[in-house]
Amino acid sequence: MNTPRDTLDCGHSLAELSAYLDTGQIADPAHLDSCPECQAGLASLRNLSALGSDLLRSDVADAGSGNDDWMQSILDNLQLELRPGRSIPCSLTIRMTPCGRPRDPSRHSSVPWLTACQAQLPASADCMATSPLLAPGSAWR
Amino acid sequence: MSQWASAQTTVDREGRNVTGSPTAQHQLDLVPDALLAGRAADGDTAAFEALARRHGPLMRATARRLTGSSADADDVVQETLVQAWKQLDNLRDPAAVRGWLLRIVGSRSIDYLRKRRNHADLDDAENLVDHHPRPRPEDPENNALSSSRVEALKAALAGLPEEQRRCWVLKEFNDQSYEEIALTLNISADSVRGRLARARVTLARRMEEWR
Repeated sequence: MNTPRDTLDCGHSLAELSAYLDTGQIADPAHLDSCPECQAGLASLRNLSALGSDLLRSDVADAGSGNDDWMQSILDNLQLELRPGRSIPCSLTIRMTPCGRPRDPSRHSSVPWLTACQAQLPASADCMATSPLLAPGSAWR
Repeated sequence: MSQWASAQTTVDREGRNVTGSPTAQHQLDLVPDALLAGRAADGDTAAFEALARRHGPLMRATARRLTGSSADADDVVQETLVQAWKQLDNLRDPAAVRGWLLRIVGSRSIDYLRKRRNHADLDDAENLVDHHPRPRPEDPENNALSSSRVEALKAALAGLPEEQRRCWVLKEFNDQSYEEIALTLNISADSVRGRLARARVTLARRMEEWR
């Protein structure tokens, strides 16, 4: 089978057939079934795609296992950068009540250590209203 | 106890994995991508490493094919993992972590090619060689035929104009959409479509000639 020219006698181009293979879209899909040239072009492109998958498998096999030294070496380098861990949002401003509880706990529910600290503090429902030390809206960082 | 619960690890306040024994690592090998990605996004370094080990070979293969250099490819994989660790929070669908990692590999590889071009006006992307040819399984001529066709495709690929080869690899290896490739290469989706078609026509012709 010969690979057809860029533009086929039926008027379709190989670019259209190539896009059809990727997207499944072409102006007149019914034509494809009845056109030998388009069929040959599609077959050729499909063969190439299958061979591309073979090449990928071959390249991945050549790349080695993720448990080999090369990956360990990358992970060792990475470890230095990962060591500080995922950063906690340090710029977070937490508005506190005078007795040390966040004013609006629901805003900080994604900060696990804050939720944990909060759970250990004694409840004091009226401290915000009674404390003269902090005006409402005062912020601690 | 579920498989995942038994495979969980603990991370201390500094983010160190404190239970990353080889056994735990082995158990993580069985955990699906989505769970690993979710745990990694929460700061679990063992889960992140399991993802890296699982997809590392594919990332390395793609980076090698794109950059044409084994050394650059390993740098690309490392930088990809650093970026992935920082940005895992942004991954909307944890199950799609593989494609997401490959997109980063694609962008990083292209960055490397651009840097290399800026530093030296030579294109050694053609010089991709098998530094470690793997042993071929002992099987009939079928394997030999198949592997020689693969070798022929490698040679045909090396003969493509660079822009076409990039499109082809991002499509066939990374399975990226035209729009994603367009973003990676900073060209229009129509250009991707055209370059990909030209690459395929040329490759298909070479393979027909080879046959």
